[in-house]
Amino acid sequence: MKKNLTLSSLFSTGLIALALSPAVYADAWSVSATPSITQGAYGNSTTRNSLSDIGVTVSADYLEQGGMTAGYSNTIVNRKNGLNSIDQNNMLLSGRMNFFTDALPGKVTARLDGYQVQNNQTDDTSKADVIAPQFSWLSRDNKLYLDVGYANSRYRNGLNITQYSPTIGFGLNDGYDWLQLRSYQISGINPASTAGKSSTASFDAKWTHFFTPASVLMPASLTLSAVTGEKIYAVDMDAQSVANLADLSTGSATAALAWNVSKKTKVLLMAGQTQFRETNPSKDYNLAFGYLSLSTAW
Amino acid sequence: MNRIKHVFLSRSVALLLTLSPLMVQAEDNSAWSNSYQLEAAGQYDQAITALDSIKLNGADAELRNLRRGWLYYLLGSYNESIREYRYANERNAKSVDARLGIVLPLLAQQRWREAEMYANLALELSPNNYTALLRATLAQEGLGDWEKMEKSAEQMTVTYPTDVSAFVYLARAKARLNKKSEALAAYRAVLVRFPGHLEATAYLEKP
Repeated sequence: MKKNLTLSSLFSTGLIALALSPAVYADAWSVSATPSITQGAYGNSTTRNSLSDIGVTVSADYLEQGGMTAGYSNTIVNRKNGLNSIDQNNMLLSGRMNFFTDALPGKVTARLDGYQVQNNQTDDTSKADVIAPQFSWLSRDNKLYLDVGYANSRYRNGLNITQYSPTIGFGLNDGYDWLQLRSYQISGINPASTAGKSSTASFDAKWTHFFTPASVLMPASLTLSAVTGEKIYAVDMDAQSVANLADLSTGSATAALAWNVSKKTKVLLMAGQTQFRETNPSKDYNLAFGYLSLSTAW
Repeated sequence: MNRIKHVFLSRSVALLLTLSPLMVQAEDNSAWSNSYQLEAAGQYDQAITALDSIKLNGADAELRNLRRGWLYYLLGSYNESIREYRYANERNAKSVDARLGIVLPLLAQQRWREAEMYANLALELSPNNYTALLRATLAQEGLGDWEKMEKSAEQMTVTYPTDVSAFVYLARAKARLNKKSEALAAYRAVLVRFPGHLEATAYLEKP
């Protein structure tokens, strides 16, 4: 018996299903909007003072078959020594399609993100167009996750950054814990901005514990994450952001709490600190930040 | 002599023409019979193959799709099962069987929202249908939509007051919604219908 993921099965569960399912079914689409705000303060930086970002993403999903996300945010970096602030617009358009596999029981997701960032400066990294595809697989028992992410970032003056970010995730403790490990391999970097390096490697570890909250005041999950190694110009496909403004990142630690305020409303609060290294002159500095988002579905 | 031979041949041909639909029917029935026997033996793959002689656009085409959908589901080939049930639904848009059938592979693939949708579509055709209510409740449990699950399970307990499963799902939903006293009452109702029920006993011992 042919149990492989065939083209016909893909179509039977994917595209054709869209046409065959009753379009009028009220609950077929789920739409959510997530406004967010980030505030950060730089420590020990010679040029940077503070960071603020305000944005919103809107997502729409059709049953379990796929969906789209569009997002916009504005980032302001206040600088020292009379330097004018960096004022940046960030745009995101993302699409995803899910396929359900029987031979290897689970869900395959093909995703394509497109990012465009542009600010009021004129240096190489003040404008970028990014294309980032990702193929992921989540086992049906939700105990194993794999993805292969790729990003191509085209900056000004021919700066062309390539990123590979393979990921593995494990569901533990009957689904109450989730451990995710991701590696970032970034190449094509201008050595002048990374003290002679044309590529960087870093490693992210993220642990999430899910609670069974007895009231809305109790958090639904706690996430702790840590980054080691070095990375610059990274495209974070979880946060759906492009780190074009930062210097070389040499590590970070974050903690996040999520609350299910109601069936359709979720709050995420995150705090963390990231270490950076300026290259000219070589100096370490950090960014302490807080992030708050409110997700509402309807 | 030739005339007699001609008459005999003509009658033979006529007889054959009369019998042929019965022969075909007998052949098809043997295909169904073989398929049922192979299913009973757990040979789902061969039970599907046994249906190959059933005409794709014949009188039994819809039943062929429904049966193949069921057998593919048993085989764990959920995408093929979904495809067959969709074909059956295309042939007969009023088929509760097709809408209920497709819910099974969707639940197996944890496509909770799609499963709930098809269970609700079955309920549109057949309100209060037990299987549709049960499968909608299962999908809602998978989604973690405890409010909807509570509502569906309540509807089951009203319509099918002797059913144990209805009260188990109602109790689970109440427990997840932190309605402890109502969860306790529902689990007690489970124990009345199924004395010694493990889940109900465990909850009542440690709510």
